[in-house]
Amino acid sequence: MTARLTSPLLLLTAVALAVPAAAQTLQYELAAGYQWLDVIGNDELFRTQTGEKDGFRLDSLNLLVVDTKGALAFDRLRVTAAGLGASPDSRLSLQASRAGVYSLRLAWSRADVFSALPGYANPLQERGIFPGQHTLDRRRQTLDLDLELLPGRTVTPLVGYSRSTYRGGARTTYHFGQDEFLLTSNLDEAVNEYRLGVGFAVGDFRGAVIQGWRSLESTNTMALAAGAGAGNNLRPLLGRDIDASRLDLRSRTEVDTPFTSANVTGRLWERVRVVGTYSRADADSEGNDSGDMTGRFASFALQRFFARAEERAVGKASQLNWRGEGRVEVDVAPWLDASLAYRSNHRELDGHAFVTTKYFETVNFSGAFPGDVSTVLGADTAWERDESLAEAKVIARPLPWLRAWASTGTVDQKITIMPALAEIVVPGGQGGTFQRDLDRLAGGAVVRLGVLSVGGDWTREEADRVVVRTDFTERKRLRGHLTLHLADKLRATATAEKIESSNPDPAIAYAAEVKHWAASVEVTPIPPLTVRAGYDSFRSDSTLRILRPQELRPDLSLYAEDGESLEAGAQARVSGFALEMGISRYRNRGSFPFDLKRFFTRFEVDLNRQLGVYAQLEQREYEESPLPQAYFDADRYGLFLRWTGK
Amino acid sequence: MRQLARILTTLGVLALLAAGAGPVLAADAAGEVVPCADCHDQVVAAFAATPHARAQGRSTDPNAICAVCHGGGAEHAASGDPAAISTPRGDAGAGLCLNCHTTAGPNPIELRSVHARSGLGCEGCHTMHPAGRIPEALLTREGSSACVSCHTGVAGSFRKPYTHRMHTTVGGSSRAGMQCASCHNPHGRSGEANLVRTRAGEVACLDCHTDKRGPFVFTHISTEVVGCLGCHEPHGSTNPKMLKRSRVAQLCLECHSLTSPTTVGSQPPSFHDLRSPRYQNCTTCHVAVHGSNSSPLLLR
Repeated sequence: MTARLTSPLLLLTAVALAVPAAAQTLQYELAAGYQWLDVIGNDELFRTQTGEKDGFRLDSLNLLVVDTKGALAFDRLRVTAAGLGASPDSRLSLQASRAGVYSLRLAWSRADVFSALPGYANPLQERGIFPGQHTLDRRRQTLDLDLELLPGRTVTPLVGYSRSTYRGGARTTYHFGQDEFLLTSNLDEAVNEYRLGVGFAVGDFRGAVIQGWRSLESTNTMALAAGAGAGNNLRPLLGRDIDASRLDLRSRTEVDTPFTSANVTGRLWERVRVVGTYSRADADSEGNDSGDMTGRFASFALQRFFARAEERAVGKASQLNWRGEGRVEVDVAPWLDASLAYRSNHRELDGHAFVTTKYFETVNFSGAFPGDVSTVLGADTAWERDESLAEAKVIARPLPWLRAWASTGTVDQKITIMPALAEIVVPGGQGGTFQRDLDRLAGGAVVRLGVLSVGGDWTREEADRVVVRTDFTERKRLRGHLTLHLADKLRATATAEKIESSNPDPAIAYAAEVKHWAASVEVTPIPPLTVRAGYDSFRSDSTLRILRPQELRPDLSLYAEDGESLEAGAQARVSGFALEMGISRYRNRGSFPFDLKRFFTRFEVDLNRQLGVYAQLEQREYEESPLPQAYFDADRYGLFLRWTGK
Repeated sequence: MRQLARILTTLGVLALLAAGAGPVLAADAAGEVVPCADCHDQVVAAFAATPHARAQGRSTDPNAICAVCHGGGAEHAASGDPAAISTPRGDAGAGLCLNCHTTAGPNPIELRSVHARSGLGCEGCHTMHPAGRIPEALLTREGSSACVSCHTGVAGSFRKPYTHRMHTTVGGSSRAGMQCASCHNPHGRSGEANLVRTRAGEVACLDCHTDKRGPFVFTHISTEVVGCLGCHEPHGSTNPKMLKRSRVAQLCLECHSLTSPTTVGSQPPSFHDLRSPRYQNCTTCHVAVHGSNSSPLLLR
């Protein structure tokens, strides 16, 4: 924890020391304390869902310094932080600016990624082995720095730097020698990005051009997990046991991506505005993989058993993406706007892989011809995807309380895929050119009558064909919302949405329906008290024809969600005391039934005008009815000190 | 290299242009200065700490800053009539805000944004004159609470067990969690145009999930045809990994069933016997579901 907090705290200290009494405005708020966890049941599942841990936690920090007299190097400085310490997510940002000279934004964030699920993709569940074989305990950190020089001037140089790292351990599996083996994995990935550009404001035109260079370096080392040598399949294969004594794999990937982005907005005439955006990225990747495997293995492709294998692979891929959009917006009349837009998006990839594998001490299935065998795979892959969108839209305000809009558009997609022969096991469905044209018609209206706002929109999309089986040929979406807002006394919102997607092709027979509606109300009967309640209903049903691979027999893929969420809460503040409570429950009776209950309370006492203390408790209880191991009942409670000043 | 030279040349030319250029706003702010602070002393004093006041520079008369948005105000000062001063709101207000608020990147602030289309102007979420503390981005409500006050159903989705970890204002437990604006551009247009793009023009997901970016020699082509949303529900899912289906084999077979020659999606060979748990969990072998540089069958 100490190492995790050192850098942010050093930065905060530096900022605090750099702020002399010359500041004309100084606002700050700091809340920090300690939190504890008490988990009954599957604590790994709890951590997967929430990421929470025991320990010190900086709940929030907000510091604003404003200098109007020129005593400091900045006019404004804002530092915000949250979640430092025992929180799955941390964030720290600093913004400093001086009018006409510079504007600086620095943001750092950390996210801990943990996953250890008992039932998900777990082939050993029936043997009572938990969690599943794919677990994750990694950390992602990002740093973004953007500096704008001479803001507000005709030309503003822009400089930026970003760094992102993703590191940590995991457990995964490797299918080799006709069995699957559990591996430990350690990933070390770093992305660095440099940017240089200019913003401009010339006459009625404004925009920016940015050139960036991004590089990724990633190394993943994997090894046979302790005690996993027997593999997942304990039965002999052709009378022989399959097992591993050593599996060492290493993947090294490097990607270089120069990119360009540009955007411009301007007025051609008083009533005509034009917008243009463009981005382009050329990514070149090179992957070097190696593997050394020792044990007793089999290969159906070679029709042999073998005792060791060495594998070396080099893969190179070049990908070009560009995307451009132009739009004309016209104020036809004071109550009518129209716009025409065209967007084109192109992506293409060329890949080549060269994989050599040497099998040692091979024996064919009949027991003869011992010896070493080498295989060489040269694979070339390519795909290209083009998509264009043309859209026309009108927005009308015929009356002060009415706004209506309508749009029509067409999307043309074309994708050409050239897979390597090595990718094809059962011919069909992989290569070729696939085209899809989609027409879209939409409209909507909003009526605002004082405290009441009612609106709705409707979209219908029709496609001539599908590219993947879960694409639709027809989709209809209907949405509505209602808001009642009585000053600070009452706010009520209701939303409803229905989506129907289908593809009547008898070979696919896709039909899906989603119905989702929600309502919430927040009432403040007297200023220090607010009460709220909410309800959500999620229903979805989907059917799709599939083939069961073992006998190529048609079957139906059926999936349903029948979820219901209830939420209620209250908060009150009376002379130095504040209380906040919330309770919610989400229950799903569909294909994956579960029950999730949550309760939260926070009690705060002001010790004086600047100091306060608060205690909070969050309970979370989760239960998947078909799997007893997927259960936890967790309490997270903490005590925090708040320091506020102005 | 040639591209770099072009960019540097452009930068040089623009830097020369910049040498003689003055602040864009100075001209707009110039004109008759009305002593607003004579009547609105508290408002003017409080406004001095806001980013809008500071953006005009230290030497600018505070009264002149009022004129940037409210106009000259001479008639209002003389008559005291509230109707005689401009209070920019709605489309007109947005037009004014956008005089300065352009964004240098792929996520622009649009005059015809999805919110503007519904009549929600800048003042719907931002305040120019905050009372008391000056909030981040001058938001009227903290974090994403302004979003979920209308998008109630989306807030409900985040109450499902498998979601991106969100900010407290959307039901998360940490103030450091993600916000709606992490993936959506609230100032963007509707549909796909509402999603945040990385600086290199990719979808927002790849800004964090850098290990899924590729490019991969052996691409799982669904990532290109239907994208992340082909398999995942980013607003929260009842299923682990925010997947659209709770069982892996079901998710995969919905595309990988070769019933029609006109769709993409290979047919698993018949030894994939779904009666065995080994084959119900496709990712036990096909671990590289997002793409691979060395395994044509995405085994590594």
